[in-house]
Amino acid sequence: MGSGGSLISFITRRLLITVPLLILISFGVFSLVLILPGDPALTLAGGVHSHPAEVAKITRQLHLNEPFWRQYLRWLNGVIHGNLGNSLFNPGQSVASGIATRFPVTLYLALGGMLLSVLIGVPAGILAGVRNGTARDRLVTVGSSLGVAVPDFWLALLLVVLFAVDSHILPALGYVEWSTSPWQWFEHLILPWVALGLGGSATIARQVRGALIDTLDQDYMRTAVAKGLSNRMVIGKHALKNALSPAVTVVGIQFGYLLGGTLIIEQIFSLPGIGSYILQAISLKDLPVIQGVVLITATAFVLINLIVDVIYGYLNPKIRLG
Amino acid sequence: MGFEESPHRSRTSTGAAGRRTRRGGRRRAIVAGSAVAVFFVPLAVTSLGGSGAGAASNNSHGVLKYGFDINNAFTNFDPSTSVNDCGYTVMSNIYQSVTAPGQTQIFGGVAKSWTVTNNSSTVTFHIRPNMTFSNGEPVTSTDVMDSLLNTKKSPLRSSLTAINSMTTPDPDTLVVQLNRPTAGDFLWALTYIDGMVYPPDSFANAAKVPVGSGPFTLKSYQPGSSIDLVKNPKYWDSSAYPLSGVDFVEVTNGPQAVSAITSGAVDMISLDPQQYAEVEHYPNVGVAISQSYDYTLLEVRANRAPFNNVKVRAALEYAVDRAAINKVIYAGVGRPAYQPFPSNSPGYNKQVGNKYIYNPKKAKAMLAGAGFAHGVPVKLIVPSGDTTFQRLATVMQSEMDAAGFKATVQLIPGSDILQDVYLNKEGDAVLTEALTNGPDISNTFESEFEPSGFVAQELGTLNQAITPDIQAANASLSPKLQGPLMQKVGATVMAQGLEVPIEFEPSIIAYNKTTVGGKVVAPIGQCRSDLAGIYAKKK
Repeated sequence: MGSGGSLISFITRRLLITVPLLILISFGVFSLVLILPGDPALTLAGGVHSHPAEVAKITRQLHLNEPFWRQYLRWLNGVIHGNLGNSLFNPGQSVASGIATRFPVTLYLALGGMLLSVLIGVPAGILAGVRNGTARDRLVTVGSSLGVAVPDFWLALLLVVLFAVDSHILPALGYVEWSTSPWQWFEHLILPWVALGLGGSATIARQVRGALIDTLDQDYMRTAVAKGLSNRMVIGKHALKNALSPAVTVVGIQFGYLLGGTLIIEQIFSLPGIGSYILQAISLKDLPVIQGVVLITATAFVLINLIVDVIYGYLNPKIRLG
Repeated sequence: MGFEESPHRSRTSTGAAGRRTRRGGRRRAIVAGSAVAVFFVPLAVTSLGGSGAGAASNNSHGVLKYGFDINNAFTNFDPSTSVNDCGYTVMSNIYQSVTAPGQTQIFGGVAKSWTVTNNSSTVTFHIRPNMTFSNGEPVTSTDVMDSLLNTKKSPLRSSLTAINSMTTPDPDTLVVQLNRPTAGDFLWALTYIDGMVYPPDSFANAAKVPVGSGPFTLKSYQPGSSIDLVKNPKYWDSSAYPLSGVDFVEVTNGPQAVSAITSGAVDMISLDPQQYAEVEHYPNVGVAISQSYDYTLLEVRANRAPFNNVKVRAALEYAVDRAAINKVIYAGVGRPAYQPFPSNSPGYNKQVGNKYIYNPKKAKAMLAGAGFAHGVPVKLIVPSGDTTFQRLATVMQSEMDAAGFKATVQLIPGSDILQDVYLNKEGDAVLTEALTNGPDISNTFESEFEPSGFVAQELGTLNQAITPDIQAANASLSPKLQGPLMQKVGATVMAQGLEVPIEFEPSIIAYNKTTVGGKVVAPIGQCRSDLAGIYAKKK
């Protein structure tokens, strides 16, 4: 079997593992949400003015009185048929449509943050790695240490003060659809991207630097140099391909982290993404929304990992044999 | 009973719940990090050629940008299914309620006038002539009746359960027969979401496509992001609202509110007291403050030892330094609540006055007299995610400690308070707030001390001695009737330690002086906007 066939077989194996994993996740999501404290029926029945009969009626309407497994199977059946249910507190609004409206915002945010992380992190890591021990290396090391140490929410607040409140260069908050104004869309996302991406760039820079230093220390690299290859060839063709393989994993994990990390950033910049959607749902105990959002986010995370594994397998054939 | 046109001042919340947890507090962290800033300067410089902060530049056509936590404080536009009372901030600009609130009395809304008869059990409303919905249809008494019936389906609108029957003798008259003599209470409730009027053919889609007779109509809604309203030219008093539109934009509670107003991202926003100090020095930011009847308080579990001992509860009244709390937590713009009513309320009891000023020695002596010479442990429940309450609890902890109450603080998410505290009996006292909000000064007492009250039942604060006075006060909003009754009730509440009032909360609106014109008035309570007379300045 050629390398193409081997890769397809590798992807197939990974996909097969993904299916039971998603079922397991769906079960975990459903269980965790149900054991959350609080009772949506009580809220819907009028809170402090609720009458027990009304609470019982709503509990029945929401099937919350049924055994756990039956509730789970009902929900899973809906999910399999593409129905994540309706919001308890927004009659007529399906969870799927709520997610569809908000997920792009989160995705743009995470993708932009990721892009920024890579654009800063990879060159910085390479610069430091090839000049190990120099002032440039130390500058990157110190910078990346700061980047890792600074919490993104703190950075976000600092950015708002510096660039919105004090200098009025960029908007402090809000979101404008791309279709409304591409420039304003970009403008409103700059600070969130920076706040979200800088920490990731530091992690990537450290990873690339370390991997590159290790790679450059290998015998085959010395052989390449001894053969008279130029520095550009040695680093660009031989060192980077090996050094970037582990970085791909880090990037994948970072992307998952960014998808989750948008929750706080969305709050700070008042962005209408998935994070703010689920926070609202949690405060109201809007079970279908919580379950739907967590499931979709977890699925996205699994898929990202799958893509990372595939890329990693492509870059490193030994992995495909595992 | 007679009255005149609404002066277009703030809508008022009786709230289905009557009380709720506060919004999260806000504090801005300002720390310089030059090494970090190195990364950002080039990025920021690249954007200098753009439209800049931009938000205010959208206001050239008379549209006001109003910062509001859409994501957490708004559910939908349907009065019969909206579950967040703060949605009133937006909805009150689309819908006109039957009556309209003022600080000390109520005014005409959809009903131009009304009469109360039959020992406060019958209210006859006279619909405002020539009033139309934003779709052009006339507003009739049948529309009002159908609206009330539709909204009544919501368990959250408990005030409407007082309706026994309704009749519409003609298109301009609605007669409501109440099942108890509580006309005053009912009229007050109709100033709120409970009394919003909307045409029957809009019921099915009211959550998304609201049709009302208020000063504005819905232009567009982006969930969690923005709600854009445009002027309703058919509004009965359209000239009172010079704005051509209002854009409610999402501003999450927290430091963002301060950033939003100081950066010019919004023109107007409601602030928490602790944020007042952060914005007052900005030259372009104006601040309007109103004193409300809303107050923070401790609800005490009076049906469990040791707080089932009236002497212990009474001692607790002396264990809170309200003046210090005003200074530290409320930036000096609140008012210490030494009784449930402030000095400008008809319910204020001069004999009680400031009697319950902080006196740790007296509190300790009272505890000793009650058999607790070594002090009393108190588990304070505080809504988590609310920095004002959390800071308040920390201050109270040390004050109470000096007075013999060994307080421990337990944080519980606001959404779980109902379940954990009232039903599962967690804690000895809960930090919460009473939203009285205006003329119906007996409003929050109903839940707290009457036999039908949820809080009264669960915390054991039911008090048969004051119940008749509270019920009698529900008959009318007349200060002459309610004032003496509530003075009496307030004195009993304090003497028996049935609750511990802490601070009357100010209502604070911050606005951008360069973009907002007209007289900005802070509504008398939370969760409302008052846009009458406001216009957007041309830049």
